Amino acid sequence: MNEFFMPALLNLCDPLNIFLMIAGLTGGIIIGALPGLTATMGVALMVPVTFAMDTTSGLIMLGAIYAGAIYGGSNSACLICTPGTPSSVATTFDGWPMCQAGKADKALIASLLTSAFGGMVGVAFLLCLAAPLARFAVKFGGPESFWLCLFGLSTIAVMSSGNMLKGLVSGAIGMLVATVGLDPHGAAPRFTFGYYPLIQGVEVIPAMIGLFSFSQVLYLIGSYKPYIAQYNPTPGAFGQVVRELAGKCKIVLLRSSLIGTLVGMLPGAGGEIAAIIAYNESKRWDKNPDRYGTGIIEGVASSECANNAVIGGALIPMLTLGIPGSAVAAVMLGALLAKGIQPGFKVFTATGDLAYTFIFSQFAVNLLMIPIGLLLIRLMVRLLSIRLTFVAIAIVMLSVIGSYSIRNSVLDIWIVLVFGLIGYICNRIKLDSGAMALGIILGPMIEENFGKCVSLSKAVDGSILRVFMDSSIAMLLIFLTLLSLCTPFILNRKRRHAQKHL
Amino acid sequence: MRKSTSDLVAAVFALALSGLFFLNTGDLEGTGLNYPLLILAFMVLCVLALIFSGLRARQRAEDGEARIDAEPVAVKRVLIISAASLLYAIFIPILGFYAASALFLFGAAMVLNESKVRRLKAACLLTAIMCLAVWAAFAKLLGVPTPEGLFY
Repeated sequence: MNEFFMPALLNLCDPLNIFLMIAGLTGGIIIGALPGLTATMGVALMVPVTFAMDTTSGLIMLGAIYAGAIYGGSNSACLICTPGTPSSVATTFDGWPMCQAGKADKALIASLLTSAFGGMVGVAFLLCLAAPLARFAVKFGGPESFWLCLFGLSTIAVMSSGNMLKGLVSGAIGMLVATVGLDPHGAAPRFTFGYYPLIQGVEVIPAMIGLFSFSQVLYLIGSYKPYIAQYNPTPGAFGQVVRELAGKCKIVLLRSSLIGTLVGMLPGAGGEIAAIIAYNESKRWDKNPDRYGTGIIEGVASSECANNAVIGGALIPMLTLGIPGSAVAAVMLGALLAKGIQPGFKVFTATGDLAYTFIFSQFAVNLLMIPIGLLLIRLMVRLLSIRLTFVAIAIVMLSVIGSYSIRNSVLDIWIVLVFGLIGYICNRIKLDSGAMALGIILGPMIEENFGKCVSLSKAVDGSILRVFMDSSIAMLLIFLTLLSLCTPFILNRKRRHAQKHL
Repeated sequence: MRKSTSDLVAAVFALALSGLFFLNTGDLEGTGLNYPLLILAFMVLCVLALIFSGLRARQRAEDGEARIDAEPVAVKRVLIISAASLLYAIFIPILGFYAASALFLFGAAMVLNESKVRRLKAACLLTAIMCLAVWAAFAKLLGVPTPEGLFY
């Protein structure tokens, strides 16, 4: 292994590779910041370009776009409450309140630094523990994935602790909406309400754009504010954020990075699930969980750290087993196969220089992300000095083209508008759009794994409970889910107890 | 809006939605039917609890109950942008993306911009910048297709 380190580092110093990292990162950040354009789309669009390059350079550029796009999503999440990619849904919970409080620069810098940190932790795991972690990920079958999703869904209990019933109703509405389309078990049209295009189902990204972006446009236009948010640049903001992160967020950063890496390894579970689980865990373990959602740096840090750590995690099964951990990893796998490289553990021996150059390039990309991100932040905060009316109108246009571009379907434009109106009404009657988004994201995975368990129980002995609770990983996840559901009650009891003794 | 009222409105909204989905279960069978039915059953239970909590809150503090939403809303502006967006979505497949976008951007900027100074200039500028930026980024740079219609 060590014999590949020096050639890999030399490869990395090639001016072309450095240029590709910078260009990939910049392009990725811009793609990520535009609502509707995802990391998968950015990487997929650039795959044909890499055919003209050698494999190492092509892979370096794709990796840079991937990392840049996942981070880029946080910019629009903080500035206009619109997650640029589904991975940054949880970033809006605290990033947007920070922006509204005039601390947009702090929110953006925190998301940048924690993204870079999370990315590096994920890559460190990829470098050091690829083989054992890949073997662990393979143990996740239908029941384990089902419980993992339910664990993610239990976030609602913590997220909506003010009115858990409304949170649960919102989550259920989201899950119900996710059942629209083709029934994955019987392949029959389901809940299309006589409108044939609905057979395509409700795509997650347009629904997110509607719930968070279009509904936010309605809210902003309906407010009497002249600008999106007041922006008070803080002198020395970078130093302050670094000190805050290094001082009080150490545990949050490490825990979220670990969660991101582990979730990233699991096929189908992407950055959005990792970020939501990490946010939930940070809130749960905090001494004062009510602070979350009010605009605190820890909230932004946990979400951003986790979603960028997913990158390293997703590359572990891709490089070692040839199983992609995310949609982007699947596209990159396709690019590797097109170049005649068969992923598997041999990739670290037969083509070790390629594998290690790519891994080291991910470290470099995460370091380069800081100066490039800082430069782009300066441009992006200027958005806050444009009159709100113009920004809101422009967001509608970007939402429309962003949603259409996912599958070139006019249906997605309608999904944005309908979910925007639903999101706006829900905000007025205090139903939780965040919980609804969780239901829409996790619903298809829960249903798929639920179906797998039902089929498995029919094949074994007819006992579905046995299938659900057969493995130790499933039992651990059940325990964690129950713990997560009980957390608000335990915290309320502790709070009442503390108030009584004051 | 009072908390109890918002609870009851939310419950009615969720109940209506579950009723709509329940009535459309049609010919579904197996897991494809059981899974949404499980969600519907769970939702109905939550809705009943929400109604109970709303009614109890209303009985307990009829007069003293705090309002949970005191922020004023410019309803007219919300209705204008909603209607303009719906018209925009209708006209995209008819006129084409860029023509419909230009109309939407210009119209919405003219109507919603409350500043009387250089309103026409600002609307033209916004329309030109956005159309050019989206065309350059989506159509030229990324090669993403845009909806086509009568015009470009």
